[in-house]
Amino acid sequence: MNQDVFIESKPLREKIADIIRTDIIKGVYRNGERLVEPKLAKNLGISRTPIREALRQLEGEGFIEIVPRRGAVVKELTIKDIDDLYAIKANLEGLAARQATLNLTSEQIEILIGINKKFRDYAEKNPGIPDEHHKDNIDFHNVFIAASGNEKLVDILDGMSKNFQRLKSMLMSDAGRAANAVKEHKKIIDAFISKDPDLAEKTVREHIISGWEYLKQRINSNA
Amino acid sequence: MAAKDINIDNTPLSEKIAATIRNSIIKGQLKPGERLVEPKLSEMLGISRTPIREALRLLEMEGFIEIIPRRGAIVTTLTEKDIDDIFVIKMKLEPLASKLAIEHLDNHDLDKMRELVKKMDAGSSRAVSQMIHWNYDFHRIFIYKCGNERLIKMLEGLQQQFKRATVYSFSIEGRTKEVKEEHSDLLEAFEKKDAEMVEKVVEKHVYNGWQFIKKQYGSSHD
Repeated sequence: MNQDVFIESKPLREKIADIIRTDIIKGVYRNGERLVEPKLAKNLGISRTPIREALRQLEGEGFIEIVPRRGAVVKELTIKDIDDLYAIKANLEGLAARQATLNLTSEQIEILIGINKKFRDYAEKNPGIPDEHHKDNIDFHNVFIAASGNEKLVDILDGMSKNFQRLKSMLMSDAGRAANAVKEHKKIIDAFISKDPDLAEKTVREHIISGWEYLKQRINSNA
Repeated sequence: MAAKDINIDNTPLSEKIAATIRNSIIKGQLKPGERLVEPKLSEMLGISRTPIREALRLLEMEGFIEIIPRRGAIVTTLTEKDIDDIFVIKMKLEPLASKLAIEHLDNHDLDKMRELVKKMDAGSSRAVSQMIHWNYDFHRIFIYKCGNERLIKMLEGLQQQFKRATVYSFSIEGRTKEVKEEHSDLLEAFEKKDAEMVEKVVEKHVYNGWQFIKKQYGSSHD
């Protein structure tokens, strides 16, 4: 019996974390809102132990903060947080590209070319960029991140990308940025084709930084 | 180790159990591939199974153990590829943290760093865990002053997975002398507030540690 609990509660922790995280991204829970363990346990019909673990995981991912005497509280994603995340992302995605350069097969490069074409066609026809397009962009990045062959790096970047989902509505939502992203992706592909790790790292870094600058501009003009 | 020894202050019991097991893995008392059986641990530590289960999950998150369906908790193997994978990330993140820290480090921090350099100088190379501790403290001073919370958390996480590997640098045949020199160089760079130099010294320091650990690890696994 105990063995069963032991085996099944690992995915359970992740499942609960997924549910809570999605609700934070969707805005069901607002910034600063308390996540009360017994209430969550009751709503989800699960004991408190896996919920506590899920909350700890979400704290690690930066979605919540566990405050003494108050418990788990939804953490606001501030401009400073976004700045901090991008500084790390520029370094680590650049590294992933460097490590991927010699691993990428011609089939994988074809996939990158295909995604970017789809992206370009779409961007030309549609001024606003819907979710589906956003997914293509993520796929593009994931192809070379996975090809880095560095599992720890993949895990870290995956954890970070969950944070970026909170910015989804702001990212990639105008045609001008999409057109630039297409050009930047093209440069990245060229670096991979020429099997130049330095150039691959540099082009990805610059791509991330340019996305970051675009986003900052948008946030500032909205404020 | 009995329950009363473990639960002195009010750190959660699960964290303390995790620390005990983590230390046994770092010291090699628990070997890679070894199974950690809950009821046995429970009996050994004289503690109920719930906090033990929580402790095992903490260790799983830190990469020390893996929980495999039907087999339970197994001590993970640190492979050469793991060492490479982690160090290549550290080579990016620690120089970034050091560069960011320049504007936040105050005289008090620099004093603490000087003190740690002195302690390591005077310390016996036989006091391995003491050296590891001082080394860790030294790095933490600038990491914690980088002003980027996510970066701090990430480097902490890597450090946790990494304690196992750091042991090699401070063993009898370690590179304690080199570490001391590199720390002095870094301190000098911080005193001068020379961003380029700080970044370079940290990059070199991490790189040297990487190459050394790799070599030591290789010779202990031949």
